[in-house]
Amino acid sequence: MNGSALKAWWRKHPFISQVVTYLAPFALLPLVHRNPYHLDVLTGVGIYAILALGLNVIVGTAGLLHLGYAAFFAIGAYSYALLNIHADCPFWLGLPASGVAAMALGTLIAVPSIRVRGDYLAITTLGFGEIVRITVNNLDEWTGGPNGLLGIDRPSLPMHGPDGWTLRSFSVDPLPYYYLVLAMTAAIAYLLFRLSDSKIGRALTAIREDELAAGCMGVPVLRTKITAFALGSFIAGLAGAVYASKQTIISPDSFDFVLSVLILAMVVLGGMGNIWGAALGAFVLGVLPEVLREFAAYRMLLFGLIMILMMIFRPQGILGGQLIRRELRPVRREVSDGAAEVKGASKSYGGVAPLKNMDLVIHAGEIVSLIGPNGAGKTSFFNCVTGLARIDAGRIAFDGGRVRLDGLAPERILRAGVARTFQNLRIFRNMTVLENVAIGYHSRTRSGLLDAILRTRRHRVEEMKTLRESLELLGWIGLNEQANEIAGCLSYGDQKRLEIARALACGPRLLLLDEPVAGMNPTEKSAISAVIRRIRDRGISVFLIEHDMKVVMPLSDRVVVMDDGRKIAEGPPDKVQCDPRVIAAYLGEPGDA
Amino acid sequence: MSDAQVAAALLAQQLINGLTIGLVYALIALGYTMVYGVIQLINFAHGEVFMLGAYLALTAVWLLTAWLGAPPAILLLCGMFALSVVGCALTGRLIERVAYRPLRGSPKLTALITSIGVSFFLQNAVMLLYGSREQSVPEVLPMVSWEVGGVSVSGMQLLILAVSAAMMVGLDRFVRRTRTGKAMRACAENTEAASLMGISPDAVIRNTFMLGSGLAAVGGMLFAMNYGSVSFHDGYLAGLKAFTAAVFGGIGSIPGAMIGGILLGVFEGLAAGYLSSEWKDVFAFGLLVCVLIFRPSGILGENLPEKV
Repeated sequence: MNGSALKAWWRKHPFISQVVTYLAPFALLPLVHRNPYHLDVLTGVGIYAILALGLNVIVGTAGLLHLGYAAFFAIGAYSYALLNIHADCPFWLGLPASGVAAMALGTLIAVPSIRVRGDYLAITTLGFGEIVRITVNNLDEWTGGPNGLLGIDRPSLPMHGPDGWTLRSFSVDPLPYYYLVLAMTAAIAYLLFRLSDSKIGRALTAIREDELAAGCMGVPVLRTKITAFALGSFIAGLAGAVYASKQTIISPDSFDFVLSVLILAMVVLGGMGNIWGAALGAFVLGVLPEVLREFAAYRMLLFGLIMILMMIFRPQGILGGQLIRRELRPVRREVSDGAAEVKGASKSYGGVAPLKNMDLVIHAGEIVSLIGPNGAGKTSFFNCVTGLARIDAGRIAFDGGRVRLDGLAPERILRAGVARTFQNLRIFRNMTVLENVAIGYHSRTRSGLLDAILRTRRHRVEEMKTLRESLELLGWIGLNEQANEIAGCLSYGDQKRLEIARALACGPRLLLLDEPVAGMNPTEKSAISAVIRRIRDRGISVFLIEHDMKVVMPLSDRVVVMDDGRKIAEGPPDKVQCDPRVIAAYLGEPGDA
Repeated sequence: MSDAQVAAALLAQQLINGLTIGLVYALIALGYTMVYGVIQLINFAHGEVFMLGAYLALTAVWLLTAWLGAPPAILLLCGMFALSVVGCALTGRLIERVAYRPLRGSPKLTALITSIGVSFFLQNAVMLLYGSREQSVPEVLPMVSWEVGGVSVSGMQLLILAVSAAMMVGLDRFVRRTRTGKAMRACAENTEAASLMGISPDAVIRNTFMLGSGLAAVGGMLFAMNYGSVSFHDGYLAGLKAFTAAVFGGIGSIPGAMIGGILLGVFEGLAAGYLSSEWKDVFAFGLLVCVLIFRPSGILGENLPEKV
């Protein structure tokens, strides 16, 4: 390979080049500075870095606060120790086994608890962490109780010694461990970069940004969260096996709440969601105690203080969030028709009934507007159609009666071909415009976690298609200039457009728009009206809630009027406008609600 | 005594022991629940305030005996009460002002992480001030106990019962009848609406922190006297248990915290007495996890779905 080809290759593989650039100094360090003590400290930092990278997947990328992470580290360490002591299992077999054991427990815990929201999930994980630690402490005959396990074997590798190349065990010499941990850190960082720049990474970020909207855009929220949890636990398990083999002795004390918080502090310090941030946090908090030896007593005091100050003055951490952007060119796409029928839909919350026996038909390729006074039940109706709420009675049929939407989860409904936007914008504010749209393709592509990490052909092809089509869609709606901007920085009107583009990316046959022009100026309003007509022209049925009659009347093929949970009128816009029941519902002001 | 009588006496004994510790949990749980009610923050540092209360009570004993020689028990009790309650209330106020107020309006998880930071800070500050070894608490009350039908009740247990009952009745009156208490309830219901009615949320939050910390201090004082020793580690476990109690009863609900604390104590007492004391913390944490997963609204709380 000549120089320019190498340069091109280097640019084409940004993750490899980053990993090499940042970790090369550490790889070269032992050549110039062979202080065993310093190398040992850095090995410890490396184990912290692996843990921080793993926790970052859960806390940073997926936004699930985990306060029991040390438990999975413990499971990894004890798995290898037990396998090694009782079954004489070698390290290289024990390493993946420990990862799998930790992942199994992680999944087992995640499945019931992942529905728990936010701060409650944090306490749930803390509770599980404590249960694991106390259990390990109490199961004396297996784990040695508080005294722990000792005599754990170190890994063996072919090494060059006095009698040439032989298979030898790692000794007290810190160098082999140093390189083992460095290689693992590099590999894990690289694979996590791949993950973050993939469909799964994007889905996780979308969940962190707005779980409900992510679900409505076809991301299987629970499954994706469990995946993140399992992956993070797997990495902790690997770190545990390395730790156990390095120490050769383990006891429950090493895996307490303080460790969970320490690793969390590393992730927070570096910048939640940032891969290098997690590694940097591990480096800072791992090396700091060594630098401040004489202040050892103040160490934990300092940790507390750092966490408080970081949260107040720089909650995004030292390096802040991380974005991976791609720029691409357009391609064509097609969408087919969609029709829906709602019969006798009813919904009540205790004494309040937002829907009372609601009937509605939407024909293929139609624009139907739903109007009615505030509190008439319009948004509740939308929520029932899109699966955010369940109807108590009646049925919602789609696709000529072939699919029943009532009772399905939001992501299933989306896959059936019904997408929506929200009354109060729910875009993923901290993702780019392009990434927002790309989320819409989640349900239409098939590659999974392993595809994403291993970069299989399927993933590459799908990802290329997703990003190209997303860009094409942005061009279609007039946002291609802003494709690489952060969505939260767009103007209000553009954010509304983006939300429509994101819904279109899901490939719907029926699109539900909840007040698409609310809060817009007249120019923006007519632009959105034009967009809605063009959506219909693509063969997608449109069902919208809107208060602005100047928009509704010229745009709609049919208008449905709701009041008090019922349909009170239906027909062409001009007829409905004169209907006495409608006038009564709006207190005598037709055409100007 | 017949076997049945012995069994009944054992049960009664475990119930009384459980009730005693449960009342202490309830006193701490009240602080969690009141703070959560007003600003939806799990104040992780609350357990450390409880621990600080125990240390301040001990400090009061040291100071009073150094100053007066052998003061009467009632004077000692009043001194302990005053120092720990005032000290903790001020600490609570300071924590709120320095650590939580700048974060008003930021994501819940940010505030939760901050509170973990505060917890570490307080724990280690106390360790540095008082030393890392367990401190024994001198006997303030004479060790007396009465035996009724094979069940023994100590003077300490009666004191805990009397003091915590007084605190809870007092709190209930305060929250229902006083102007400040009503403002707290209004803020817990809807902070925005309360502020439009001329109630200052800042003042309410400050009062809530002071009140909650004061109650935790009372819990800390009783805890120190009951166990005869204090350690800087005590806040973590007691804090988590009290949080469990608050969630169990329904976080945000004051009577919920009282009921949750008492039930948790009794549950733990029975688990320790009939199953295994080694595993009693696992039972408590298991309960915590189950409540959070299956009924996060607790016994008395209300469940609020996300609004679209």
